[in-house]
Amino acid sequence: MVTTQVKIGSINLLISLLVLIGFLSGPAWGQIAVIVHPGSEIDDISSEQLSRLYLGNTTNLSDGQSVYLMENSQLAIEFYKVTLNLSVSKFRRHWMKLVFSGAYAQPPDPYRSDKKIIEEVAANEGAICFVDIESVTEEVKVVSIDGLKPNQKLYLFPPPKSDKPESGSK
Amino acid sequence: MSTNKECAIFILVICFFLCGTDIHGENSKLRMYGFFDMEAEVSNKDQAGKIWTFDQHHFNLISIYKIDQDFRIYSEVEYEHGPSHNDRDITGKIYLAKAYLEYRYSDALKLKFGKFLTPFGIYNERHDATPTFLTTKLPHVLYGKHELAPGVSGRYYAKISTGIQVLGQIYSNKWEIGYKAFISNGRGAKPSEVDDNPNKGVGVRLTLEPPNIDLKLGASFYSDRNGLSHNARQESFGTDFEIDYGNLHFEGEALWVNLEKYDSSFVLTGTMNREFGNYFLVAYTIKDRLTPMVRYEYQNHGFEYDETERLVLLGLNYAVNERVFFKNEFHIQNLHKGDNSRHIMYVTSIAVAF
Repeated sequence: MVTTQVKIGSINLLISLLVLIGFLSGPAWGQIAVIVHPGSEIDDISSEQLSRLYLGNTTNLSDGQSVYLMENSQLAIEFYKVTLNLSVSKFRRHWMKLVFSGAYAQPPDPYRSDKKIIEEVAANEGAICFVDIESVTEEVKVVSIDGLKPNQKLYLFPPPKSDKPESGSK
Repeated sequence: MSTNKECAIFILVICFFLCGTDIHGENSKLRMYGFFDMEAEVSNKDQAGKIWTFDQHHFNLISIYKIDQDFRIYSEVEYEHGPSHNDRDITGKIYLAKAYLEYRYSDALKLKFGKFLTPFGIYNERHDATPTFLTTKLPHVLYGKHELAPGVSGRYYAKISTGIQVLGQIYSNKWEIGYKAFISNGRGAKPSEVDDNPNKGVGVRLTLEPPNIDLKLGASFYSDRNGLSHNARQESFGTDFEIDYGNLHFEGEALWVNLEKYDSSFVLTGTMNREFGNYFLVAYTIKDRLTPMVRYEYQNHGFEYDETERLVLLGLNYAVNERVFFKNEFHIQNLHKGDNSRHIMYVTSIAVAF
């Protein structure tokens, strides 16, 4: 009987610790924002167009500018899952097929640092990438997706679970 | 010029481009890709087949040089079967698989000038990029060598064409529609340099992707007078599909071929030998890594001769990571050519994309 109580107590303690760790660790990323060059004529992009760009089905942005695709490696899993319903490995295999079969579209260049991404997007007119909304500066333009800006309800990328209360669009 | 010198010049040209460019970011003019594979196989077909054989099959280097937003040069050099060309031995092959200038007017209209992989079927344009294949060996009926004339073997269409291609992709009502059409020298002794006969090689490929379903449909056509087969008219028509549903993948292709016959003096008779073949593949991917699969192939080598071939493939593809793949497969082949023979082959390989 005593042994059983000790076992139950240990399990409860373990569960409590796991729950506590979950609360303390918080989300690994903030809400995703899609960014373009500040001089771009694009203010809004459809989720369909975003998907066609990242699948290599089109090589132009809606303003006619030739696209330069970039990838934020830290957010790639979430971004490709939401926009393309693909895992990163399936996404890589898709591009491998395109490159080796001679498709005109070029795979996104991967970057790990938000700062570097913002520098590159600010420097290239056709650049498009996705970053954590918290790291966006005035050097780049955040575009709405299907008419909705980050932090608005029904925005394509949901906010992290422990995000701050809704405070309007950024 | 010896092949060693050609290789050295190629490497120097690549180094020249690399030195002059930033290979990362928008300013990069040059992008380099490639793939490598090594195979091992054994079969009970004959005495030679019973010896385990290793084959360093492919080492391909691809370079894409972007001249500006609308022009680029795409090239691919293949080093096949670990080539060694020196005073003592000449083994393997080194050749230019692709080299073309591509002009983009829009997504719907692009042009290629030069040497390109013939757009035919699901795989031909991927060339030998085995990291993109689930299996080591592609379906024999479409991508294997067949006897086109006595002593002449090859695919039922030109694997590589030299000429002009017009291509594009149109997006309409959420449907993706792709087209590719080309004119080339066709097959011959030196197909990238001279046409053996006045008839050009021509071909078309159309693809269709409907919305809301991961399905791709394709149809391909190729026709030429084959300079390697006494200028006989040879036509191929293929259809294909690929569908993904969750972790399940289905694909299949069918091929109809007309080969003009000739008599014992190699005079063309104008009549055709008709051949037909198809294959279907089912694969299921577990946790993005492990993909068991089954493929069934059928081919009739000529309705008149009742020569048929059936092949079942049981395979397993393991993605070690996003770029390295380890493959194992058994091929069970039944041949019906008067005698009914069956043999089994085991093939394993590692394929790497870079």
